[in-house]
Amino acid sequence: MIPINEDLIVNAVQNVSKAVVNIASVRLVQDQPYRVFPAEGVGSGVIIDERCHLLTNNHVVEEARSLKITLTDGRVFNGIVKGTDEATDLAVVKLDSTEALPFATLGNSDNLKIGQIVIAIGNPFGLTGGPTVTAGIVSSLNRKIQFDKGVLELIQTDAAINPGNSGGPLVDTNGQVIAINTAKMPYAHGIGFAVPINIAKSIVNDLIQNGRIINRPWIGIAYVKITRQLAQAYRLPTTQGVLIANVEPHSPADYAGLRKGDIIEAVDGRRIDDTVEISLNLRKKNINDKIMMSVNRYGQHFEVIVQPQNRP
Amino acid sequence: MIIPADEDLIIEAVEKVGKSVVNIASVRMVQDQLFRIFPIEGVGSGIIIDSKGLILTNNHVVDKANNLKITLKDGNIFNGKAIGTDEVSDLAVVKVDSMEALPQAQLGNSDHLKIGQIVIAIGNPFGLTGGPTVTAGIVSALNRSLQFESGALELIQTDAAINPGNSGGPLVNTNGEVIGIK
Repeated sequence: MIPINEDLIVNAVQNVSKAVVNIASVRLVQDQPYRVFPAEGVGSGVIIDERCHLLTNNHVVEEARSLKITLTDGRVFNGIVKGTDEATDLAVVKLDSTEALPFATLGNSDNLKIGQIVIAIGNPFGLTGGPTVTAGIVSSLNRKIQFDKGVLELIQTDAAINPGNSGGPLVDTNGQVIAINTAKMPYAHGIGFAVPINIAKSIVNDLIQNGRIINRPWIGIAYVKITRQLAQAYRLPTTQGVLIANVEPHSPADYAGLRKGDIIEAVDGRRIDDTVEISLNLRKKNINDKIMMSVNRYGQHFEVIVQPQNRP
Repeated sequence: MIIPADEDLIIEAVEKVGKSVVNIASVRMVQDQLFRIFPIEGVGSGIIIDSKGLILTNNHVVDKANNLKITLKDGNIFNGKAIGTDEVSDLAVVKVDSMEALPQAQLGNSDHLKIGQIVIAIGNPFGLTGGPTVTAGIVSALNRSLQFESGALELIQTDAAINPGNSGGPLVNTNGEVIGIK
């Protein structure tokens, strides 16, 4: 790969690899004619606090009857799924351990830059002696990918991500976890995807306490970024901002007075230019928090307060 | 967050040249055995080399296209026409009509390339929407001779990940200068 400043990569890896684990899951599957047998799955995970909680992908632990977690030093523990979220493909597992276990530091995925070096660490097959490490750069941010369960906004990287490191961490050159490795584009070379850690941070407590997300702030609008073409085609009063394409009836946006055709120019006083800034701001809020939106309706400027509710 | 010096090189190179990378969507009309005509869509990348609206890309991206749709990084869309193509070097120049000056990329000097040097590929593999894909690697070999139907080409070889759709996009050095077309 890129031979820049090897020390950085070596040090970053040493810091975090002790917290990377292998997750072996057993699910019972049923075939024709109704025989039931165990299917084993394999993935990775990363320990994130001193209470033995680890973060991984939902698809690694989904429907698992039992989980066997192996650390890189060879120690094995049972794991219990504390909470899962299909929409973000994340899950929190608690390790059944009385000893203190090494845990990773979580970074800030909002500060990532395209071109930055990132390192994927996984532990497929529970190979002892150390994890599998691959390196690359951030290829793209906020890449929207359609999965069967919905659309995910993911970090794209050319660091090799494969079924073995799914659920493991993607770290920056400071050794901080900035995403959870999730998927690769089939038949492609060097196109892998990871869930930004800030999304994980916003739901971890909910997953630990409630087993699922009960506080997913939602306002009920569909929107697109305004381009010059769009502004010309719809005779919009401005070329900057986000255009509301639809407002869900009885949604918080509906009650706040937002309408189809409204242009959102700023959120909480900050000018916005791209659709990703809306989901970013929304993610930081709790239900019933107030969000102020500066609206441009056919040239008329005004402000509305929207209070997100739980996504139905 | 402190980003170590070398990472900055890649980040800055990408920021410098990123706005000049375009997506090229082409439509060709093809006729099958039953004489039905239908459109085939192709997707590739390109790089703006003149602010008056000239884009460099691969010939095979625009070959026989009836219609070209060029999308810039900021989302603006233009119609384009291939004004010059060369099968032998697999290059083509596309012209778009734009009222404003387009962000043009700086061309570097590929004669000065060294094996082992870091290069960055920017393009639109698989037509992924929402922004270009950036991958990095090194120059693996220079003047690599490859045989194609149209003749032999002498190419720069790199291990930066390149996938279908990247074609026509730029390969840049750490100064953000274009030193190759993928």
